[in-house]
Amino acid sequence: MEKKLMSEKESLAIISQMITNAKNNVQENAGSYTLVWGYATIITSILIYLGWIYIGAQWIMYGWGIIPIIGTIGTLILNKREKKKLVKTFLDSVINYIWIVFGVLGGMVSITAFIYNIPVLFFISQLMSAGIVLTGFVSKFKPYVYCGTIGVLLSFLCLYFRGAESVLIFAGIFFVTMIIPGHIANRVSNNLLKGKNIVESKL
Amino acid sequence: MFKELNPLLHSELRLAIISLLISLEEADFIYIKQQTGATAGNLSIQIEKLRTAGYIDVIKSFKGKMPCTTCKITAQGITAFEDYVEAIKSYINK
Repeated sequence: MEKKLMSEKESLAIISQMITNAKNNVQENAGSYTLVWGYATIITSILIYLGWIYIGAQWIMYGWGIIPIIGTIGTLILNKREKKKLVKTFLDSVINYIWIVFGVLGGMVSITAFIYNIPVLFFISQLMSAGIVLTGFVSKFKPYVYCGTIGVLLSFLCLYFRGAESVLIFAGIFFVTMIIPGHIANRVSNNLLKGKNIVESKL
Repeated sequence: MFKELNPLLHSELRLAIISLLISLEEADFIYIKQQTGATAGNLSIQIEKLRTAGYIDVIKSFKGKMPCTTCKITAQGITAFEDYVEAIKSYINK
């Protein structure tokens, strides 16, 4: 940009252009965090289900601890990659805060389940699906809103089924709530970036 | 009556920097350079002017072994930008 005297219309054009540029900031693999936690939950649920069926011991339930371990390791790996990100939007912060609140709540409910007999799979699937719906609303990404809402409704099945099958239902809810929209988010963001790069290379 | 335009913001590159930062929580020097198309030298000078005026915060850190400069608009910068837009409006609506 050269140093020159601007007219008021040029000033407005610059303001408008820069605000548009900032809005068009698309993150690569936008659904990665959702996929990490979704797959961590599904893999753990399948292991718990198999343990429940073939071993049947109470200690199998401590296996739920695998979810935060895989999830945290995955998140740390993604955070390390994200350091290459050149910009942080207000939306990034809002989504971070949503998941800090829902993550802490989920952790507290899980710990409570070891002390009191509560339908923990119902509460966790409700909380996480609600988190996805909120993420969808603030980011204006409809697949999160729709899949999260379906997850909220499906979570009531965890109140009806209380045996080993409830663990498979729980895994199914996470597949609908996190895996499907997570892959859609990755595909959409990568296609947008691809399109943006083609346009930029033509300019 | 026309409002006076803030001379610090009534410059193509400085206005572009502030307009970009108003929509973001923070942005890296490289990102601002990409979006404005300015040279690194000129951008550094303009960022320093905005920092001296208290319109932006400049945070210097390291990402691994690479030095990194992050810019963030301040409350004073937001007010100055809003006043500038109001002043521009008065010219447009004349």
